[in-house]
Amino acid sequence: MIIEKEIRLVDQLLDKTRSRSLTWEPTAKNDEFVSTLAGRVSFTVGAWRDTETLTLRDDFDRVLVIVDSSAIPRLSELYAEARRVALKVDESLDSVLAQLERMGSP
Amino acid sequence: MSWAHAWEFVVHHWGNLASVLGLAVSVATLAVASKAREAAEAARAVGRRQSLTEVLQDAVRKNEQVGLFLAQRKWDVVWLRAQETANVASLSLARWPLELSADSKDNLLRSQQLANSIASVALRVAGAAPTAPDIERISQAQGRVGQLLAAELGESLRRSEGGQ
Repeated sequence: MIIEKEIRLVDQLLDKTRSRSLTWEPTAKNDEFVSTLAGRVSFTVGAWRDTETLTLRDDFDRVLVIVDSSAIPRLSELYAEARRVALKVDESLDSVLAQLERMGSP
Repeated sequence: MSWAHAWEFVVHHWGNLASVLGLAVSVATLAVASKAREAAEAARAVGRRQSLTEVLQDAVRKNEQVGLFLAQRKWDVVWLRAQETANVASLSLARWPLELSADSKDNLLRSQQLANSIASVALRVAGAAPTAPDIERISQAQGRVGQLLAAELGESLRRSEGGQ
């Protein structure tokens, strides 16, 4: 059963990711990203087919919470934002745009 | 005051003088005991820091072996060494909570998760041909674990050598 705390957790993670207070990085798995908080818990977001999943683990690697986007639709936004941060999409876009602008118009 | 007067004073007040002397000895003993306790605690702290450094050195070596066996496509050993690396990170977090800063714990937690992801992929690809992106992702994760652990090892060595 999804309770209010899980929904708040996803909202908070999304806000902190958008403000870049929380950093994500890619794991060895396809479409999976990890972040940590104060050395106490880790968050993993991943995509499997059309569903995104968030897993919260403690420092002993015990799973505390698992939620997916079918229960909390905003999780899809969190996944997209975490992916953007982890893969440094903005930096790549800035670089590509700058390069294109330097090329000038024909 | 002559020696005779002094002797007379001692004879009449020997009990008080003995009490004062006893008090002085007690204070001195307490001071020595406190110093000894502080020295013992400092030695214990140095020992704990040294143990942490050795464990982190071991983790760095295990992660290097992940890279080595990845290059040789020995997936069972990659799985084993990645598991061991993750376990060392977990052990460090549990055993040295006071010696590690919040940032260090974060780095170790990330190392633990990344090493676990390497082990998970190594297990999946062990029975099948891994794709080039699989290998690329494992390699990048292994490199990142190496960076994180090396940073923590450096920090631990710096503190062991007396830096703050």
